[in-house]
Amino acid sequence: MDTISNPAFSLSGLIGTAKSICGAASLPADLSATPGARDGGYMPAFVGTVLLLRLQRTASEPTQRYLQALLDARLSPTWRAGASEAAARRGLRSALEGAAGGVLLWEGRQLEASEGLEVASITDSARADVDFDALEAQLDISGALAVHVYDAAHHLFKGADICAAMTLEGIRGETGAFDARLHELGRPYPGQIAAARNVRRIVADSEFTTEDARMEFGGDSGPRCQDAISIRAVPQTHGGGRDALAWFAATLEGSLQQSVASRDMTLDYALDLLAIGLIDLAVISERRSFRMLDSRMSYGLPMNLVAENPGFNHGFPVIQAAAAAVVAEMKLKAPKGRGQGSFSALTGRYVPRGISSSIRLVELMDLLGKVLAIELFMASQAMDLTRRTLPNRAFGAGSAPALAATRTHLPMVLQNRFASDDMNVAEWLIVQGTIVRAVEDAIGRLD
Amino acid sequence: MHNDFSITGHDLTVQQIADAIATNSAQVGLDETAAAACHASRRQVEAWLGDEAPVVYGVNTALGNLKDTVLSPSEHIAWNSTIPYPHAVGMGHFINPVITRTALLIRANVLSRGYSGVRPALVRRLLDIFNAGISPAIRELGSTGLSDLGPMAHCAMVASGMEGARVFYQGKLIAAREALTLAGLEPRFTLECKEVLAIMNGSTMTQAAAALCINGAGNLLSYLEPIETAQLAAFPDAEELLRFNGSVAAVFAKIKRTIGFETNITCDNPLLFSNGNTYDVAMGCNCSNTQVGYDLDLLAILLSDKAAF
Repeated sequence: MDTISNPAFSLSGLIGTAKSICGAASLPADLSATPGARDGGYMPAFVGTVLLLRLQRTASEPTQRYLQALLDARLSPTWRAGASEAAARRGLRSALEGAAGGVLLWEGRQLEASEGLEVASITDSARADVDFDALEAQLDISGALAVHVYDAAHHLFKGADICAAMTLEGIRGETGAFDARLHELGRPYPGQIAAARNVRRIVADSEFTTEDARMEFGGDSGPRCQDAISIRAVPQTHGGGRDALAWFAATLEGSLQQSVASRDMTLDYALDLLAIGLIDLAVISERRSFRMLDSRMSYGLPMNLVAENPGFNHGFPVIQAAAAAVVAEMKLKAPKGRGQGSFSALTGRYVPRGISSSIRLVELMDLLGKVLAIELFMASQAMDLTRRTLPNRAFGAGSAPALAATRTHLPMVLQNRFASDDMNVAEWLIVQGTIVRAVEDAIGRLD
Repeated sequence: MHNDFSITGHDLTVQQIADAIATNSAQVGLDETAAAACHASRRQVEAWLGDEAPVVYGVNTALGNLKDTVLSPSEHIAWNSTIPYPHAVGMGHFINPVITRTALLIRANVLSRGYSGVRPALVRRLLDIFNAGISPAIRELGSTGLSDLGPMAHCAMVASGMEGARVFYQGKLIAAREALTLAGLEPRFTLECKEVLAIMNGSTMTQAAAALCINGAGNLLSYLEPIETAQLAAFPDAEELLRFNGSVAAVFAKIKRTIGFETNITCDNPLLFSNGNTYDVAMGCNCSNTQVGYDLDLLAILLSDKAAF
């Protein structure tokens, strides 16, 4: 096996190296499996790999060799999602020791720790000189989780921009709101500029987001000046979240250079800000998907996006209502407007939040993926319904491959069909990177 | 009269706003370069009001059912004299007059950037009202959730001296026209094509509150500093306090940067951008002040934690 060399301890270095070890995310063979680490699932291999890379930084030589052996074998220690930090720490130690109760992830499988070490031919002697007490004390669980949060959130921001662009195509929307000058001159926040640029690139050369397409389709009563706020405020709303993500990344970059013991609370605040941004991303996505249900708001698409035999076939209203429900769940996890810190009444000392801030983000991202999945599902239907009326036109440079990638796994809904399975598939396509990869393979890396 | 400073649309700081409010007699002017930028984009708007002008949505047309209808200059004036009324929503207590007056200054700064296509005279009108110490009277509840349409519609009414507009002036709640006259200003000011939307559209009232909040919060934190320093020896864990204060300072600085940045953006709609020979119009949604909203939530969290420590 190749020896994986440890990166410089920059955020991008850690992410790049961990991803090269874990391999590219791929769809599972069985798309009825539940995406994400929920319902007793385990934390992703990426998190455990980052943990190992971080541990190498301060480990003694025998321990470094042992950690390297785990990395070379692409074994990743993990713990059960939902566990407390103390339980996570015990679980990780057991995984590293090969002790009972420990779990190692390997090639997409969850293995008993002892079995995992055996599969990788890592013998007892390799562990003999490892100081597992010191290792456990140095576990930077919050740091590893924060790296995972950054990477996964960035991915979801890309997904959100793609979903918004696909909705824009489906409703034959107005691209003027994404004019670079509005953002670069009018309100030049970096995140806003990036979100607008992403959407422009995704719908580039679209023959649907044009005035003559709108006229030919016949759903507008006259020239469309501007779309609803859930569309035209995408740069500002997605951009605000992106700016929160950027500050989080800068803060994390600094935190990773510190020891866990000397780390301050700034990262917790950055996680709070990002949580707000992710919730907003879901709110505006749900508003976009809602508008696609109504012919008046979708500029002439069939009510409820029903393709054939309306009344007999039900369409998407209950699917869309699920997005509203998930958004409500997200709002319950919003940082409260006061007192996030915990101070011991007995000692007066600040009690660190530990992994709770990061875990909240992991949970929010899990829910956001579902809301975006519903928008992807509905926007794909809207695009295909629009194309039925305008069959000789082409979608944009990024939105066409996004639709094609979706249709590979999720056919257009023509008749009543089991919704939950479809929604699950759509979620996989969002969280596992299928749609983002399809777009980036076509038009290059998104911001 | 000598101006304490002039706005350019690009460099108004929170400190300048706070100082201008604190003195209550500050005189703020419009920078001549900014005035020229406003004049240039306004010339284009006026050209679009000519007889052979094309339809320019959101500029020489009305809204809604009349969005395809080109109005004449007099029709724009007539429409502008009524359209603020249905937008001027508000219930409950009055917003602190210091905030509403600050909004006039910040909105003048927004318009002075030259992308809004308004007359320099409108910018100067807003500054005159600010300089006179007049504060629009605006009830606080009834946000649209995005853009301060209700509060800024009240500001448009005050700027124009519309019937029913009220203000706080020298401690009293009176009709805007009466206050303007007492202050030596014209009681009426005609809002021409595009100028009502240019005042109404955007989150400037929130921005005014944000600027004053961040200034006030900064003052509170600075008051605490010598107190904490004096008590450090008695604190159970001085190192913990210093580390916490480091976080507070870093987060506070980030929030202050955002609010400072937002003071110098363009948030109305539509906007005019020069393409060399003429201007293009772009319709967007810069009224959405997402970053400020998020950072104000964070400020509440931060101050609560600081208070608890």
